[in-house]
Amino acid sequence: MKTKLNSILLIDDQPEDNLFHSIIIEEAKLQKKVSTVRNGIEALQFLTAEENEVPNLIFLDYAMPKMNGKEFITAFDNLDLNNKSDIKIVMLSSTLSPFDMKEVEQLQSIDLFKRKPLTTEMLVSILQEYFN
Amino acid sequence: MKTKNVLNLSNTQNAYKSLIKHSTVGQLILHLDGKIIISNQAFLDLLSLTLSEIQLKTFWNSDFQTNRTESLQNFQTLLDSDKQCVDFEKEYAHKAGHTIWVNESVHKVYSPNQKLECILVMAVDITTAKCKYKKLKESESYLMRATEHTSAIITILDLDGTVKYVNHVVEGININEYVGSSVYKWLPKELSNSVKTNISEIKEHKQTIQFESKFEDPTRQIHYHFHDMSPIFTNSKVSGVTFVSSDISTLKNLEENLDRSKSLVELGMEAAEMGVWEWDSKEDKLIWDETVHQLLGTDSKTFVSTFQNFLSLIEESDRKIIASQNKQAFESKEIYEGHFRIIKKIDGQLRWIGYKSKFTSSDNEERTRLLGVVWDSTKERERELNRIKSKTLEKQNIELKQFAYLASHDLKSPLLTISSYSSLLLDKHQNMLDAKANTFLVIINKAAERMQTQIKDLLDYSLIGQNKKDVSINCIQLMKEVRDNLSYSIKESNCTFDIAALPIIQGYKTELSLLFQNIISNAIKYGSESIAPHIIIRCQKENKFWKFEIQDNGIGIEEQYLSRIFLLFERLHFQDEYEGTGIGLAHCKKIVELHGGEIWATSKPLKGTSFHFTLRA
Repeated sequence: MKTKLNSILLIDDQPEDNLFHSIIIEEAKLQKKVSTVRNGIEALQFLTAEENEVPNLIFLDYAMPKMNGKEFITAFDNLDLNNKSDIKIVMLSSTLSPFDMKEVEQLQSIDLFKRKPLTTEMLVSILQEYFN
Repeated sequence: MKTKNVLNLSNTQNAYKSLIKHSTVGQLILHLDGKIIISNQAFLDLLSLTLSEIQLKTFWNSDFQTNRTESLQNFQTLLDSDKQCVDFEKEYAHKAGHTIWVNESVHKVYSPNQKLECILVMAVDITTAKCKYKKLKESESYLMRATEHTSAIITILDLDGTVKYVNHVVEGININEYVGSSVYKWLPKELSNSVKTNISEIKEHKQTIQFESKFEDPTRQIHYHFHDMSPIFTNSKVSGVTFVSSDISTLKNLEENLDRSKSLVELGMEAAEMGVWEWDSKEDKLIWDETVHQLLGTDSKTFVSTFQNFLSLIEESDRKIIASQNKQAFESKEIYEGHFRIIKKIDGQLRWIGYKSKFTSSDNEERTRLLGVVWDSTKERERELNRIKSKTLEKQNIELKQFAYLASHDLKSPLLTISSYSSLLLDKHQNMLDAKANTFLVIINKAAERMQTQIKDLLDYSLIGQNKKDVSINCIQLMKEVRDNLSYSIKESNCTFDIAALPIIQGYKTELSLLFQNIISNAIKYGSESIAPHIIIRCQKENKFWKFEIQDNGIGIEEQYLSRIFLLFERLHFQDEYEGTGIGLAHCKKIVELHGGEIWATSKPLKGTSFHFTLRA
């Protein structure tokens, strides 16, 4: 059942990538809040912080220091959140090498695998697919 | 009472006449001038003549004489000398044309008053005897020649040991002295005794005795002889002994050599763990030695050695080849070799068995016997397979290295373009760009820089171990050079060192330099904000390795990350916190492993980190 998009979370260790993706989203004029964090640990902290609205679209990078994308998902699966099933997670990676794919393709919580960078077309198709 | 031989003259004459007439010995009465007066029948029969043919003919001139000159001479000689008779062996010509041999004796006959009256000739046919004698002489000469030429010494001995005959003597002995002497005088003591004993044995048992003897000559050379002593019979009694001796020294030596060779071969086969087998195809009989059974895992006591049974031991997939090779072997002369797999019944192990075989029969004979060896070639096969594997790996490795090099090389150019032009924009066209544009350009430039570093590090990583110059390195000297390389950051950070005695090790200089440099530059980079970095380097010998420890007082690493840091591209911090490509420690790991060692880290967050690694001593 599709829900309405509330906000977007960008998880990537490279500030340039987060900036770029934010700009793309801004250009799409979605008028939705975009938050950025730099690794899995910060992402978990963000998601569990009371004052934050839990975003239902997350763009997740794979290679990040201290806790990479795969490790984040493992931790995320153990999180107790409201409407967790409504949260759509898209993995954005610079490479989708066979080696990387092997590491993550089993993860159920990831709804989509895409190669960076995020483009307007990609964004539109995701919105159409998963949201009202 | 003995009757007196009273004969009056006339009676003697008659008796005499009768004697001559009926004698089987040919007799002639000759005049003193040689004319034949009387001949008896026997003489005429000798030559198939009639009386009229010889009567009153001159004896020495007669047709039956083959050498008249000689005959006359002999006659004359007799008459002239005091001799009463002479006899010769001579040839007479038979009327039929052939010659006969006669023993002719010529006697002077006197009248009662001692006056020479006439000559009496007696002739006995000795042709047969002469022939026999000739033949005998002939075979004797053949025998002589034969016995002379053989290398064996043939001696005829009397029962008391006297040498009756010898074909030839040993060098240095006079044959004339030898023949007729006692053989015991000449033989070595032991042999002498044997001969003596054997002669009495032969005399008693009338059978041949064969035996060997050994003799050491003055030059310390050993000679071996083979003797054959057999009885000589005269009237069914042993009258002498034939003693034949042959020198078998060469043969004996060959025999000994053969035995020795055989032992060596057996020893060799045992050491090499090779089994020998023989296959008689006509009877389908396989002959295996114990080793073959061991190798093939069969019981020599129970296994029925036929070709089929042998085939059944072999792995199914290999059977066909073996069977067909076997068939081919009959058609050509080549040596057959190869390997097949078996699963040993005894322990169920899979082993590779190597074999080599060849036909033993000569070219002309029908091929029936195959002779070969087998051995366990499992290790050989494994080695071969490993060799092929490592060759493939090596090839792949080289390709990979080439690829890494080419890729990074080709990436540098467009990268440079990006850097150059974005720098250009930043430097020269700042005025025309708004704040956002500027930010973007800075980001572009920084990213390009990072990429360059990344490529360089990647390239360096791929080249580790390429320069295979294993040299002797003084680590103290090495540390000096490393500190020189890092002099800027050392000075900047006020970094201090505490370095213990360092050894001299065998290794790759560039790589070891990088190892120390990476760890030390990390120690400085990840130093505490409040205190200056202080680095302690220790080293001690552990078994066959040198164990190093480089301890810093930096920010430390959390335990959960201690093993991850050595992974390629793994970082624990953001680019803007601490710049880096995440290759450094992966580098270090590769270098340490190149030197046969291991690397690991220990740490207390905020207290500092220690990097430990071992290098081959």
